[in-house]
Amino acid sequence: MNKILSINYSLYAGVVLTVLLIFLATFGPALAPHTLTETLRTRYVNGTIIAPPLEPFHSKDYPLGTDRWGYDLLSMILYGIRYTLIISTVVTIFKMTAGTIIGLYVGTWKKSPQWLEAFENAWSYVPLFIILYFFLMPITFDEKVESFILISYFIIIASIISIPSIISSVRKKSKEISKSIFIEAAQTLGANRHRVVWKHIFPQLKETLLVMFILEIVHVIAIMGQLALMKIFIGGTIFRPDSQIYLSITKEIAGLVGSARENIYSNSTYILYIPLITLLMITLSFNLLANGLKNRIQSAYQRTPWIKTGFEPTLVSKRKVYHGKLRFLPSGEKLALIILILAFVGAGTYVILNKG
Amino acid sequence: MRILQQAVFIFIIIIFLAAIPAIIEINPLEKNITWNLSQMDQMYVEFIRELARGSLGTYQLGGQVRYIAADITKNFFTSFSILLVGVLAAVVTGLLFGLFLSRFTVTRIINILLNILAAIPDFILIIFSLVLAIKIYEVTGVRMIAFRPDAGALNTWFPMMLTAIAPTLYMFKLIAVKYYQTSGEDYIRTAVSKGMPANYINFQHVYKNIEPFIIAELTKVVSLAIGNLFIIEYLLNVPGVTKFIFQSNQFQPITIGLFSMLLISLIVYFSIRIVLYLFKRGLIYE
Repeated sequence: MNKILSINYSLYAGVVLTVLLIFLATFGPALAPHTLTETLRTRYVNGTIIAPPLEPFHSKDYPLGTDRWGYDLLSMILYGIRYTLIISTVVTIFKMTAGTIIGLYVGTWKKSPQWLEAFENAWSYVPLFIILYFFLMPITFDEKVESFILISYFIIIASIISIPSIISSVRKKSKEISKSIFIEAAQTLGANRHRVVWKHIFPQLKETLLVMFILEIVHVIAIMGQLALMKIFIGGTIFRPDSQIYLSITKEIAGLVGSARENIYSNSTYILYIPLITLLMITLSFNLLANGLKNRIQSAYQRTPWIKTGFEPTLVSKRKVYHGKLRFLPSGEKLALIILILAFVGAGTYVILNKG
Repeated sequence: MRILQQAVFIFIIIIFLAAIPAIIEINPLEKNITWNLSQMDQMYVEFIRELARGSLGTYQLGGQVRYIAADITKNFFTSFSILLVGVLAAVVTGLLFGLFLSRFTVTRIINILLNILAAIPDFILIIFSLVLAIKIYEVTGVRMIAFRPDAGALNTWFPMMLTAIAPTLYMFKLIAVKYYQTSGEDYIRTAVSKGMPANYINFQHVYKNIEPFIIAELTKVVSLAIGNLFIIEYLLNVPGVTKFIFQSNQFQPITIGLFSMLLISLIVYFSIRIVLYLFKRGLIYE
């Protein structure tokens, strides 16, 4: 059919943007034009005064402008982006691993225990960021504890409190699959529970779990953002009582948004927009990636609807080609992926070599 | 039995949560976090004593100490109306654009818009709407939001809209996916082959099969709305029940606040169930 319409744009855009994010997270501080403590000195250039807050795209030294005290916004973002990505990924790894293992096994039980369902239901009522708010509120402010302790504290609590929802969704999927005939066949042939779970149920869920993993990263970032609106920044909040200023210690992106929130009412709204747009880009790239993967899975497995729904995908399903021709240079998606990895390595080496 | 268990779990979670700010302390010498559990029983005893005396206790608002009982009715109804309208709007728009109107070309634009918005986390949408409201005021002079807690209608309709955003997008996505899945089933083919019109199939066959999923996800939708309500009341300075929760670290107001939130969410949940039930009774044959 129409070839241009049936390209999975969201997958490709998602992959490229995510690789870019990983690049920034790895080499961010090396790329940053200024340190976190350097400020813009007020000075005269050709008769005009240059003073903070400097607007973006006006000066070569400060491409994204400075905040009210003259700190470079671009440098703050480049230093902070690794915290956002690493914290959210680590939380997701913890909760997905625990949730998936428990969910898969509980799903194969004959009857899921009533108390578990009641607990899951009760837990799903309480918004997660409220729980985190109560845990972090007494300890986040005024650098009373080192930020590393605060970060690990956040990671542990955020992972634990979001495990029940993952158990619940994995359990339902696993239960659905364990009703299938091929599970019965495997059990008849003598497969024990571990084999049924890991050789028969888990492979069916692999793709869904991958999509879930990426979406959960976005979810963690959203929780971090909600906390940041409440002035709780991951890694600690510095509070200056004389002028009611809240600052993020780690410069983590959600924290930058939270501390710049008051600028919404001022004339220099870009101080808020720049971290906000960065955060939006981060969440969008993960969402695009997840959406692209979902489209691909859906186009392979979905049954065609009998009535017009308005949600018909335009994608053509990709099938695995076994026994294809052996080629020296791979083509299509594989080639693009190799070029992307080469570009990543090349740009990385360039940054490291030119650090001075 | 299960409802009882759930109620017990929620009760324990709330009691525990409300106590956390008082329990967790920082040891300034060793710079680490300690859990001071010894205060816990004392707090619970005091809480029950206060209730037994027939008073709800006090909370701090700025510099003054106020009685919770004096303010709770008004705050309760403010939060309740915001949440009810938010969730109701979510269910109605989700059903309209996700199911009943989705096949038309005109509404497809709205579908695309909703899909794009659904990719953005809700708190970013909240900030953007604030920016938009301020910009509209700057350009046209029309006031859309107020940060004074006594601004009347301005204090309710904008928060209602903001609260509705996240649950609407969630509901829309859920219904769209379920609609697409259901429409591939064999009973839809049977209905089509019998020559039934699309609207009839949507009401009688599709909706009936999607409804259990909507009801199952309703708790999640209400919880999303509550999460956003907390943030919105905090950001926009709305005089709702969150006033008791965010103003102080005391056990008493936080517990009362959380319990009124629970009550609100239960009432909202059951009213939506009633609305769905009436919809089914009125328009769909049993």
